Amino acid sequence: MTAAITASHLTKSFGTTKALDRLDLEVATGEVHGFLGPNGSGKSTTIRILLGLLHPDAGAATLLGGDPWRDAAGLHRRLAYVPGDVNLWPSLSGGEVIDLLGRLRGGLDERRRKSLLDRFDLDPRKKGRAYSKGNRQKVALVAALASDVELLILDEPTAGLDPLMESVFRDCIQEERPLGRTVLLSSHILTEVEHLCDRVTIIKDGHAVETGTLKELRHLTRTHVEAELTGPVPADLVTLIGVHDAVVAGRKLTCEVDTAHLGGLLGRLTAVGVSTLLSAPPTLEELFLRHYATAAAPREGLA
Amino acid sequence: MSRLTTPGDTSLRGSVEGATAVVSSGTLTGLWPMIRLALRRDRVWWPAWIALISVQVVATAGAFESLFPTVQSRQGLGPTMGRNTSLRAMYGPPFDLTSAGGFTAWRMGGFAAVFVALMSLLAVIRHTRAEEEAGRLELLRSGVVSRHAPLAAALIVTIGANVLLAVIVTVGLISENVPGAGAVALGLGFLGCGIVFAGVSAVTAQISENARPARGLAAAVLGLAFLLRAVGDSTESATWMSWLSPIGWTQQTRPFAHERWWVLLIPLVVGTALIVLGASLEGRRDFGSGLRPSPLGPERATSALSTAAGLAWRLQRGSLLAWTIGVAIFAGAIGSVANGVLDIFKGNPQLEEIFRRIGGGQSLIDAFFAAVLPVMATVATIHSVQAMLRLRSEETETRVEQVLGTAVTRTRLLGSHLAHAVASPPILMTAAGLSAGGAYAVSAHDVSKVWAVLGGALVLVPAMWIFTGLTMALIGMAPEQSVLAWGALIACGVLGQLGPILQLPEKVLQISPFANVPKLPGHELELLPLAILTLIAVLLTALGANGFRRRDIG
Repeated sequence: MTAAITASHLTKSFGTTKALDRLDLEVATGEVHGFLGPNGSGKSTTIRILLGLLHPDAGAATLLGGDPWRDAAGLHRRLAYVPGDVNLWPSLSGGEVIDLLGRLRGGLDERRRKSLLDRFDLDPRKKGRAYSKGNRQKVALVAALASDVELLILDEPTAGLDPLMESVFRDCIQEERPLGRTVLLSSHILTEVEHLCDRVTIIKDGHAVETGTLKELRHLTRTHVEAELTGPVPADLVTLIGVHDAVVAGRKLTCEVDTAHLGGLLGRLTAVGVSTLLSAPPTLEELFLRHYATAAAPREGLA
Repeated sequence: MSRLTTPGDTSLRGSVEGATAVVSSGTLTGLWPMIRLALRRDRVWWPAWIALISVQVVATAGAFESLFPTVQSRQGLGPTMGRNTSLRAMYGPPFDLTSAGGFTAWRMGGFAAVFVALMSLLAVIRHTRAEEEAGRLELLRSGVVSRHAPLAAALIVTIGANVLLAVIVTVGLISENVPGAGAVALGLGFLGCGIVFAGVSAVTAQISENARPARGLAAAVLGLAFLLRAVGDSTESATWMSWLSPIGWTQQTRPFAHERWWVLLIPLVVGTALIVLGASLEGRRDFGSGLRPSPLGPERATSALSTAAGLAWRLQRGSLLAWTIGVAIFAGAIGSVANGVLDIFKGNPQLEEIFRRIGGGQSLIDAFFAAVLPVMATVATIHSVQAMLRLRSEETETRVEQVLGTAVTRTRLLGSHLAHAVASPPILMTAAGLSAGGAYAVSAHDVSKVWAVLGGALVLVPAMWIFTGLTMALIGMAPEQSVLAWGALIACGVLGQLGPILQLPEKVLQISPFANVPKLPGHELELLPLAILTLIAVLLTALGANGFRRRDIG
């Protein structure tokens, strides 16, 4: 069993809006998998299908080797879920909710419960209605992280947390790795994804547009190059394969180059002679924006 | 720079004063958009409340002629009512029962005032603390909406609605040919009560961080007002207590019985004072917080809170307890006045006839209970529907997905709430039957009816389950339309009340499940209709449960 989650060609419509359009997703056992996409791209819908809350119109999914719709309750013993928008019961205290959710999953690790409460600086005696958004999220996170489960499904878990708590969260996820737990982390926070995730899937309009390790994905993106040459810029550089949006001003060249073709361009530049060279490797943000922005959006704004 | 720090610099002082002026003129900035928002949100809410209250009041005046057609029957009313302390406690002191207006003022003056108060206090909390707690007000306050604008808008809309209600009641009563002065006095009496309770909730909204306790506290003030009036009106030596109650003020205006206009000044002054107090308390607290911090809960869950059923019990137990107590009190009050009501009917063949038609019993007391028990059952069904709808609200407020994200199956989840909805009718009707029968036994010195009344209460349970089943069916198969369960219950309630008086055909009346149970006490117990009703309820529930297991959640 190598894949904790597989989804193939998941399709789901709500009325006339198509939330998922042949979505593919594979999360290997033991990895931390980033699930990225703009608002409304279908991340939460995918997660809800994986939890058996929604039934897909077409396509298939497996979760921990089982059918997420048919075997929901049995599978849920082995996973913990933190929704993006945590609503607590107004009259229950945070401590009660943590205990309840843990017991409904089949038990809590007492030691972890206590240490997580400390680390997240959470007062478990407050009532659900009195917590802020961030604190409600902490309640659900403590309940999930203190459970003894194989898989964590986290839907934008840090959206309401302050930077300090966000870093506590990162530490907690890093600690999950040696335990062999699988994590599906839907997020908007790129540094978080960069820090934590082994592989990512980028989803847009209900379809997975990119998936792989960050290294692989970087390879698919473009590097920004600004070079000042000792001689005039050869005219054919602009039309070189892999070079985009080139602007030539005298001896100065500014362009984007497909990372796979970076070597070729550099070879040509050094042949002329380089006086200054500035090369910016693609950040995840660029990668992300390239997929987030609609196809019609101009590239200049992204450099 | 040095110029700015010079003490007494006139230009600086001018600018500071200017700023202060801007701030003070801005304390109600955004008032108009807030009013429009409140009206837009409540475009069904207000007409429904106003219609509910005014129709009852005007219809009472309209029914007087047919209920008491002869001068003799009217003159008999005063002495009987005047003597009966239970009736005085329930409705208030009768000042003149010989005219349609005077009868309406007695029968509805205090009763409708309670509804007016409820409408006003719910409206103010709904637009102030409830919005603040939900975080929506923060969004508005960050725009061009100042600190006091939401409260001011809520009060203006609420008092405006009360004015409208007063006008409708007044015009409606005058159209029933009662004296104009009395109609105006009764309308203004309701308005006064509305203003006072708008003020009460303007204050309670500031105290707690949450809407529930704010609402509860305001409702407790209303309960106290009713209690003070009930004790004052029924106890010779404590009549002064009625004067402490806003509901009492409505009655002490004495509409249609030599109106005492000056009494209307009391609610006006008290209401204004409460509003000023509320606004000043609001000025003293931070946005989102209360004057009193919310209490802390336990650090750990008890072992009872380990399953879906344990969670449902925790969520439902408070409301079940409150409803059981409420129904028992209500039924006890009805049971204790039963004897007095019978006195009125004796010698009034029309009323007797109406009661026999509704209740269908042999003896008048049996007919009375057979007539009022379905009303209690209809009201008590609200709890069962509410308990069932909890499953839906847990879903719409996305808490269900956290529970279903654990090892809880859908069947267990729905079963945990269904159990409460199904258990509610027998529990509440047992309380109603014992309380009504017991209270009658005490007041009439006649214990023979206790078991018969309890039986009459319990035969209604299968009819109540129809609504439980219908609610489950809607949740399972048409979740967006779940509120239709309320529509069905209200329709059947109205049909049960007005149908017999309007002499609608039997076929129409039997649309209501409550019309299909044997009319007990006083008739044979037939098991077949009860079995059929139960079967339908089971089928509806099964359909709903099946739908809930198969449909998308959320």
